[in-house]
Amino acid sequence: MILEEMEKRLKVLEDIDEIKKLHETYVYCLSSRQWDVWLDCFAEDAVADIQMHTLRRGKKEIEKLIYEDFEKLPKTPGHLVEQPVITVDGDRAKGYWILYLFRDGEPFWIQGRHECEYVKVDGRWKFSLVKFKRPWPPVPEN
Amino acid sequence: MTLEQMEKRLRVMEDIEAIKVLQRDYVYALASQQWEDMLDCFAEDGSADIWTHGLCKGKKEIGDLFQSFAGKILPSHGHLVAQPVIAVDGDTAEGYWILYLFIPAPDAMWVQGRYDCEYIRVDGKWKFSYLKYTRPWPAPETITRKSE
Repeated sequence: MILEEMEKRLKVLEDIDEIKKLHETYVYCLSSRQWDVWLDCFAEDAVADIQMHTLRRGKKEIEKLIYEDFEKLPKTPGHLVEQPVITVDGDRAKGYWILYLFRDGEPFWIQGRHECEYVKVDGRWKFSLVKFKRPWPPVPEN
Repeated sequence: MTLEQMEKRLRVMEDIEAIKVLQRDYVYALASQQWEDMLDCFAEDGSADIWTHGLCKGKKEIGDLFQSFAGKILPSHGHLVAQPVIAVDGDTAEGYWILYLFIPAPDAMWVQGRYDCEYIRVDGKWKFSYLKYTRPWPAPETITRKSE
C-alpha cells in the first residue's frame, strides 16, 4: 500500500473523531446553555430542523431558535447522545445518533434521534444540517 | 507526508482510544466496586477531586477514599459514561465526559454528572493524573442564559 492511500484512510478516522467531538460539544452546550459555543457548531448556511420548532435556515435564523424558542422552555439539564453512525465522504459527512432527554425530577426519559450532515469549513467540521425527531421511533398512529 | 508524520497522527488516534478504554474501565470498576482496579487507573502522584469528598493527592489518599465508598454504591446502581471529548498532546491529555447514575430505589431517579480529567502516559500506559467529578452537572445555578 502506498503512503498516500494510507494517509487517506487515516484521515477518515481523524474526521470521524472530530465529528464526534463536534456533535458531543453541541449536546454539552444544550445542557449548559452555552449558546455561543452551540451556535459556532453550525456552518453559515446550515439548516436546523428540530421537531416542535420552526425549521431554520442559516446561522442568523438558527440564532433566533435560542431566544425565541429554547430560552422559553423549562431548563432541561439531561442530554445524552450515543450510538453514532458516521460516514465521511471527503469534506462532507452524514451521521445519526440516539439522544436521550432526561427531565429533572421525572423518572422517565424520551428517546430521540439526530440525523445530521456535516461539512468541513476552513479545516473544521460544522453542521450543515441538524434534524432532531422525538420520540424515535415515532409512536404508531393506531 | 512522511511515514514519521503519519505514525504520529496514528499514535494520537490510538492514544484517544486507549484513554477511552481507561475511563470506561474505571467506571466498570466503580460499578463493580473493584477498588484496586480503580486505584490502578491513577498515576502515583495523581489526584482526585470527587463530588464533595475534597481533593485527594497521591494514591494512598485516593485509595482511602475509595475504601470509604464500600457499602454506599449498590449493585443495582447504574453507571454510564459517555460523550468523551479528548485532546492529546504528546504524553499528556485532557478530556471531559458525562456520567449518568441511575438509582432505582426508593424512587427511580437519575443524576447527570461530569468528569473533567487529565491523563498522563506512564511507562507506555495512560493513567489519570487528575480526575474531577462534579454532580449534578450543570449545577442548577450555573445554567445561564448566555455563556459568560
